[in-house]
Amino acid sequence: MLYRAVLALRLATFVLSTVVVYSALAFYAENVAQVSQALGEGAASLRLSNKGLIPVSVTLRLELWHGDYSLIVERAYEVVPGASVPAFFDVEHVLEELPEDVLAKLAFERSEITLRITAKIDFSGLLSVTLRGSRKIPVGPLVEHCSVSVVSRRALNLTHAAVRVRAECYAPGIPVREATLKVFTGTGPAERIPLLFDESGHAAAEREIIVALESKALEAELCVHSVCRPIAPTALKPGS
Amino acid sequence: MLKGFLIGAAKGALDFVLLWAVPSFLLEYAGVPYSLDPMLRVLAAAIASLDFLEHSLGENSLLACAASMLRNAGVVSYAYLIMSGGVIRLAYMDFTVVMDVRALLFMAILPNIVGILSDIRRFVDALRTSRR
Repeated sequence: MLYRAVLALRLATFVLSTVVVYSALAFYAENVAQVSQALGEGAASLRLSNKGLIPVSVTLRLELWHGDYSLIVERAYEVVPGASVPAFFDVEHVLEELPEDVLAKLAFERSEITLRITAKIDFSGLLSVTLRGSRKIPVGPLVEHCSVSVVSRRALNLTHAAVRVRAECYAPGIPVREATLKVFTGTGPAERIPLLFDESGHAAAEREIIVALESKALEAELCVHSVCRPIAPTALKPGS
Repeated sequence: MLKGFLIGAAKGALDFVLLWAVPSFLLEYAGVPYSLDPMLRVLAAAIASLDFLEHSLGENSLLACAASMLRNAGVVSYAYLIMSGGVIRLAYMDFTVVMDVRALLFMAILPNIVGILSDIRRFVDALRTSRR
């Protein structure tokens, strides 16, 4: 009787262990290539697939360090057998959660962010695997290009002219969604042109401003939050 | 006798395949950066030999009970060794990997501990029978 009970226990634990090990190996084999790629590149969208027999829960914890500032992002995913879920492992998206002052610095400067990654994969409490590592990621300048051009010009009187200016900026895939272009007319306070970046990272706006006829060039600067950088002066001629 | 010998040989071979060949193949196949301790091969061979011995000698003999006990103890040692005591640490790329396999270790050890207790009982019964 006892012998049979031992045999049954042996069989049950063997089957359960086999299921767990098989599920872990299946999960590893299915996801190792894209996880390695993601860890190597520091940015990628993952799709976690579970071809095993038991549910898998995955917790991704990302710590971003820039100088003294740190940001912790933690996301949990539950992948049932036979399913696959998109996982968020994109540094550019994580950057969106950085505070404005850090973003503003990164908008114009090349810098490095230290990324500490912890991934915990739990197989229904029967087996858990924790991966820890860190790497440095070059970030910025987030604003790649910005220019101001004169679309048209008409004289208003002997001293002033109305100039239609077009501002275009390009900041691909960055979390900067709003910026302000300050145009110095030389006659009064700077004209502020709000710029809204779309999903592709383009922002464009047109505005008519009054300038002194004696002005030869427009001086402008792009401001992201409180940090501003000058843009190359633009000649006050249409098409320039 | 011949039947027991054949069953013992088959079980011994199966033990060795399950305890050494399959883990080696799976680790290599999946590309898991974890090398098996050479001691595990010795233990797998010992377990296979003891299984063969147990079945060849007949289930209720004293030597068969002793072989079974030693075999179970060998499996406990094997499980403890292959799972590094329940927490496996290894380096993968620039990452530190920590695997918590204590539940699996418990599942691997439990039936063998119970098996050892069962063997002790069988051993005592066999001893009593032989004295009579």
